Amino acid sequence: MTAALELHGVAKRYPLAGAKDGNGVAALRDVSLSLPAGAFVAIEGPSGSGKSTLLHICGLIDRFDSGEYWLQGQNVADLDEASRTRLRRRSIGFIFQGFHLIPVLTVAENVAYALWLLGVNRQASRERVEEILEAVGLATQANQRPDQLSGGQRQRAAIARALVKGPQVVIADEPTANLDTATAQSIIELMHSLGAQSGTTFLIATHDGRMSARCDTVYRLADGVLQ
Amino acid sequence: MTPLRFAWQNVLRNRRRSLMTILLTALGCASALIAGGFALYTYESLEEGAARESGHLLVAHPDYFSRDEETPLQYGLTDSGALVHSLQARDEVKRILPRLNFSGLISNGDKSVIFLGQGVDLAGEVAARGTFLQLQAGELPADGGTGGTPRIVVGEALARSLNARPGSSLTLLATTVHGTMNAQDVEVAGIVATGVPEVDKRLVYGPLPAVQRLLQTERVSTLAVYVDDIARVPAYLADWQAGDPRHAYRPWWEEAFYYQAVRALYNRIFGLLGFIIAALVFFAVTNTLAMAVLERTREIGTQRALGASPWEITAQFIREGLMIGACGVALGMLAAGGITLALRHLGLQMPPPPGRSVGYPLLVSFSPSMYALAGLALLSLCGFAAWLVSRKAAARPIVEALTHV
Repeated sequence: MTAALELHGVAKRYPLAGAKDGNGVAALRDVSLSLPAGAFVAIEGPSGSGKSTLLHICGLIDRFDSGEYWLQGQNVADLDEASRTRLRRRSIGFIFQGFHLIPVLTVAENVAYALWLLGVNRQASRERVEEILEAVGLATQANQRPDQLSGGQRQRAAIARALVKGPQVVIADEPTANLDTATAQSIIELMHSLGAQSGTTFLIATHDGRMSARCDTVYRLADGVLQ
Repeated sequence: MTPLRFAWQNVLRNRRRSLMTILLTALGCASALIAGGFALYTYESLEEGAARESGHLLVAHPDYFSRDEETPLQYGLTDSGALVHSLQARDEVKRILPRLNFSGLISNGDKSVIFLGQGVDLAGEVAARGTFLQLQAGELPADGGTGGTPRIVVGEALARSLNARPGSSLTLLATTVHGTMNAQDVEVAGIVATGVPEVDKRLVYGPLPAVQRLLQTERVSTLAVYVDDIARVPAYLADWQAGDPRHAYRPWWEEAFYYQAVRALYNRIFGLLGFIIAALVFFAVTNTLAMAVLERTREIGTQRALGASPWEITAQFIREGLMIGACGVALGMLAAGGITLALRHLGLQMPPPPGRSVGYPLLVSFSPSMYALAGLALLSLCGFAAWLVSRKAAARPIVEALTHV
């Protein structure tokens, strides 16, 4: 199976205030990882273990100090910011722990935002948004604002936004952390089923054992080292 | 979703703050338009008055405007008759008024005072210049007393100084072109005011033939030419001067010293006012959008993570700044237009300016180009303010923006 995402010996340090070159906190040490297309992968680890840093690097919203990162066969280490933005826009979806929906937009508009960035025309966008909202069970809430939704519905909207453009990779950072047990369970199932249907690779940072149990592969990160 | 709708939703996010900024922009816009309109009205009034007073174009001896005369009419026009004839052949010329500037003493027998006079065709002057003189007593003589005692008009303060009334006999004493003194008995036909007390103390208008007899000359100082369209004066000036190098042609604005001085003063005053207004609007919009940027830092991070470029984020804030600016400008224009119309009906008067004895109506001119320019300037300012406050936030590291509290 072709790797959707490959990391080779990736390291990342956060500098300490006033520290000389080379000093700082190691967030990731020699991380190597290969995720096949369509994989549903969890990263577990305690707080401060480097999970978020790894996700940020994989989601092209942070840079690493050394190593290689191949996304869909392309080495992204040396890409400039504009190229990374284009790649993120086209190929990567995000699901955040705090949902991060835009409060002034309706659910449908929040989801359509990802397509708008891609320049998808209005008609095609509307059809695709209706389709994905149907899939996440929010068809009847399409015209509601995020503050009119429950936590679970907001996360469904965020999942819809992440998947609407058909990305190769979805980065999910603690997607069930802010949800009650029943809602979290339904979100896990939703992500799993949509991932399976779309062939999208999911990389999920989680503390939730139920989420890990539904993943194809579970990595454990401790002190920046992937196990 | 459209970018404009998104921007509008963001403007409405903090309604009170946006409303205050819109109102401040409207106030700035209205203030600028009313101040500018008032300056424009003043310029137009002074421009028209100055052009009427001097004539659209003055024709004189080549040295008249550049050298001082050592004897009266040293640089006067000797061929004014032929010149008038050739100028009248031009279609664009509507009126030609010969003028003779002279000075001397005016006496009532007991008291003599200095006067500054002009020999003119008074009926022609009134026809060309309109009500440039306010008649205080008597009349403005149509013929100037042809054949009999010349009839003159004098300034109000001069008449008071000489205790003269319409019908009073006075004597003009002046130096002739030959350097000798000559006197002429005249009758006061009218007493006038120009609105400038300093001028009214010395003012004498006499009939041109009588003044020429007094100065023993056929010459005149200048020919004041009135044309069909004041806007075409520059073109006529170039054309006429090129075709007649033996005379000097001067446009009205080079003689309009008061107009030039007022314009220079108002340009500075209203320029400064405009700058202050622009600064106020700029800081208001900057403050509003800076708050919005700060409050939406995480949202900016989210949008960047989803693939929005820094420029797309900045453009979004610029659209919001422009919307606030557009609302403010529209409101400001409506207010300024309403005040402009109201002033036309209220008939308010401004007090006399320094050195003048007559006030003038408080009116504001409406100029579409000024409205367009003010609107464009304020919108540009709002757009610039938005760009300034959002560009750094848009370029901020995404992870840092996402974790902003």
